[in-house]
Amino acid sequence: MALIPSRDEKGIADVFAIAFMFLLVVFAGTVLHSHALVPLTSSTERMLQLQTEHLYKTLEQAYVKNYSLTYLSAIADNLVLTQPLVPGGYLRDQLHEMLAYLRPPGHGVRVTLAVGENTWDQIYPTDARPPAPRTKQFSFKGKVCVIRAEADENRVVMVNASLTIFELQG
Amino acid sequence: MDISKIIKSVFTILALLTFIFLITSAYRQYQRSAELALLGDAACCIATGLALDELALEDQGAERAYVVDPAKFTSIGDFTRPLGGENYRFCFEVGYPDGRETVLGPFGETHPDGVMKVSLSLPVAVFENARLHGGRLKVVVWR
Repeated sequence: MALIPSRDEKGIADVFAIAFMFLLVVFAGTVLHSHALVPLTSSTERMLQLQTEHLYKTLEQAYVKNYSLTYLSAIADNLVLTQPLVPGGYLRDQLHEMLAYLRPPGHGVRVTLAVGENTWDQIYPTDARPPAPRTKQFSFKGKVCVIRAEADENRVVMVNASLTIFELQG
Repeated sequence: MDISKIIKSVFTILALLTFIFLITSAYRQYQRSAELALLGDAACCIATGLALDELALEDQGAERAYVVDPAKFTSIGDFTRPLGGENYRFCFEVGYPDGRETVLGPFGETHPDGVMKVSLSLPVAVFENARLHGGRLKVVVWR
């Protein structure tokens, strides 16, 4: 007799079934909607990777205003040569303006060139922090060649360059 | 019929209806998202083709990738590209800062209203007045 549920127990079981159904609906809705955005997110990331490559290549080819030297070559000159053609302060301002114009909206840009212990590290916007490892970021790396005249012969110096586009927080 | 049974039945029907509504709305959202992703990929493909080949500056017989030549902007006659069995239409413009922003274009037909479109801006070097300016190539793609 005790195995047959009473009318009250049956009612509670039904309430549990309905509550479980609602939980299932909420869970399914969350999963379905989050899954629906996956193609768009990956497409946006492909766009940002392409923009990173193009931004690097643009800085590699476009001239600094009032000079016939490209941005990356001018920075590399500043790191390697004792008397660079483009003054460092002017170059930093021009690069700042160029990054402000070319960066994808809502994203920051970091340009880093390094040779030995000399480093040029510039971030736009200036108040942005360097991207944390967990921040979504896209990088493109390359080398810039500078010829340095020395006493007996010219020497080729390779400068490591990298450009990172990262998502701005907040 | 017992009132509690009626309430339970109503709740069950509500849950079912909500479930069906969620599935249809999620499917619609997925379709829209997939369509935008396709347009985004088409925009990447078309913009890359323009920057690296069709609008690229010719320098000593070879095309210089990532450098666009404004003299070539009017040479493009067909603003439709077949990609993955679909025809995508596009227009583009090129801008660069030279004191103030100079914008060349738009070239191609304007996109119709009410049609889903994707816009992509790619940094490029623009060859103008015998100088290479840092600029951007903006491509708008739709079907």
